[in-house]
Amino acid sequence: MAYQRSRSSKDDLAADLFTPGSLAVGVIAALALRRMGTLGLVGAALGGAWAYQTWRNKTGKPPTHVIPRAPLTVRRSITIGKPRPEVFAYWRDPTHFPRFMAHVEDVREIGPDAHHWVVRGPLHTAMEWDADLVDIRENQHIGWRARPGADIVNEGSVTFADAPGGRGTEVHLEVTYDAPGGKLGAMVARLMGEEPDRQAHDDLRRLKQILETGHVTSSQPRPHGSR
Amino acid sequence: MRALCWNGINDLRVETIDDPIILDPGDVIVKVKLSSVCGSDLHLLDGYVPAMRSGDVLGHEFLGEVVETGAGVSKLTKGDRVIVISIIGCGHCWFCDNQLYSLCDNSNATPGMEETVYGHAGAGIFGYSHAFGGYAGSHAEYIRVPYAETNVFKVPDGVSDETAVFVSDAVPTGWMAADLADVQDGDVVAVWGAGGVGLMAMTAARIMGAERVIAIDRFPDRLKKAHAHAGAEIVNYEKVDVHDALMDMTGGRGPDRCIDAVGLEAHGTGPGYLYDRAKQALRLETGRATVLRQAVRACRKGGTVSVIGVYGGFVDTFPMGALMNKALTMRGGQQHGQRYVPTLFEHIREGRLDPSYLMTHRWPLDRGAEGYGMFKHKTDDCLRVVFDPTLSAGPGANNLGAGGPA
Ligand SMILES: NC(=O)c1ccc[n+]([C@@H]2O[C@H](COP(=O)([O-])OP(=O)(O)OC[C@H]3O[C@@H](n4cnc5c(N)ncnc54)[C@H](O)[C@@H]3O)[C@@H](O)[C@H]2O)c1
Ligand SMILES: [Zn+2]
Ligand SMILES: [Zn+2]
Repeated sequence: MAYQRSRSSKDDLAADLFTPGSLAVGVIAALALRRMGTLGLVGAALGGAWAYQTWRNKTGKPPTHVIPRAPLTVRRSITIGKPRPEVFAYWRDPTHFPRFMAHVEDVREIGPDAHHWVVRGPLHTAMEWDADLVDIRENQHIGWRARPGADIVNEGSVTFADAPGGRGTEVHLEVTYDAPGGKLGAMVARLMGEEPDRQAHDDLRRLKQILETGHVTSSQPRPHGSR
Repeated sequence: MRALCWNGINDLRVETIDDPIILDPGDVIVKVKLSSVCGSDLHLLDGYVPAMRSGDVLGHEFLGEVVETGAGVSKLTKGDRVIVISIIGCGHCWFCDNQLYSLCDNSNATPGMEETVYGHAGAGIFGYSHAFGGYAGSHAEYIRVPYAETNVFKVPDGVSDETAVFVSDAVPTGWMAADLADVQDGDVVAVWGAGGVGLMAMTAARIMGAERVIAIDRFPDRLKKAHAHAGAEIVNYEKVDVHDALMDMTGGRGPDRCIDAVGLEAHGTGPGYLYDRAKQALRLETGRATVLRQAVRACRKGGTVSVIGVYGGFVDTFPMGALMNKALTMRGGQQHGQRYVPTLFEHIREGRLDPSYLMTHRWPLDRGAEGYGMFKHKTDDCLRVVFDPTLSAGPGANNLGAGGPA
């Protein structure tokens, strides 16, 4: 099967990063941020790139992946070192979602393969909807779709495939958000923060940590000196 | 507890902070007995690693005693005398299964920055900024160690604290440098940097069969130690041209294996160095490639360049043509200590390896800032100053250095 996905925003970032002009802008932004104390230390390219992306977000020249195309689709993949049935079984029960999806506060069963979702955005705004699991294929695929009347119209799917060389299971996640009227951008931004890609990725990483190690990796809270 | 905290570039302070607590079932709490400085900390002090936050506890090379274990820990018990590998493995992912612990998929709790810039994130590291997991470091009375059964090793009887502490970081790092260099019987191995890491790489290369080892540095005391402890021939790069010297010493072939145990803050001479410094100051270049360039140019055709010194971002004018046309192999990485510990303790017990001389100074934690100043400027013949949180400040501080108290 030919790979068809269009050039990702991360590729754009990497390309920009290697353009001297852009890097210089990133560096200037980094230094500015440092003065503001936002990053503390912005010595290396890590800081520059980070600041650069922030700068793009802040200056009304948003990275391409945040532009609220209608519908907005987020796709991320991860490889989990566990057999496909085990990964599938975990995902088959959406009440597990709050354990690894940072903004999902509660998922409660309301009927056969139907759930009520409560999602928390910034500033303690809550958004809710009922959703049905759809298109379930054992050990291969699970879809879900919000019912009409949802605060955010959304649907998603996750596909499971064997990774080569016995490396476990490839998990491919795709979520699409859509809403009538011009509300989409604002709502999705409220829900997802500035980087829906990043959030989806972090969610998948936490899922991987749970399935591989038994829990989400944590370094907080930790002892620290005065700030 | 008392802990040495980073408060800004070259600003360290000892503060009283909360004790760590068990967060996950696989955790243990270690009461720190010895905690060493490392060249990697200098990159944090000097501002080359981003994402430090003021109040962060430094330190990652340490020995101590297990004082508390999480519910899921069965292989360790209270009272065990242990070392902890500085780079954290989860023990469950594909990389850990393949003994590539520093590439662990799960132990970095804050992988975002590395993923953005490197494409992927490596393991978490104790006391090494919020790009590498945001874990508190070991320059403290106590430290929380996650995934303890993978990262904590009991010290065998008969091996002293002063020897064992370096099996946490300097020894496995030097060992891995030689391992990556693929040292073969009869090889000539050149090592740039005669710090704790470089010195251990020299001894490792010898154990792996190198016929000759060449140490390159500018500090006479360090070069002297390279000669005394690893039988190295020495090159002082401030006195001679490194390339010419290496060609002379190898009959024009060049060293078979070249190890960079210096990294991004390489010091140098000449216009290339000034160029790198200027660009680095402007943050247009994040590493000075002085050593890398020399190593690639000097290396024997078909040889190996092993990069164990740390780089963070980008370097300029990398000699790609030489690398390609001379068919060199270049390898690098953060250390996979967990993989080497049993071998290393065996060599130590059988007398082939003795890292204890790296501890030139054993000081109380309260002299942390002063200790880092000494280590950074390489004064008082300091190789590594090791903090002992049980020592009280002031007199009684035990100076093992060649000179008097610093
Ligand atoms: N890969 C890892 O897992 C790992 C682990 C620990 C340390 N390190 C890295 O290893 C490097 C060395 O650590 P260390 O603790 O020995 O540090 P150190 O500061 O004690 O030693 C560095 C030595 O390099 C010498 N040096 C500087 N510029 C040089 C040049 N141009 N040519 C030759 N020598 C030069 C210095 O004089 C000094 O003696 C650091 O970059 C550190 O970050 C890597
Ligand atoms: Zn180190
Ligand atoms: Zn791992």
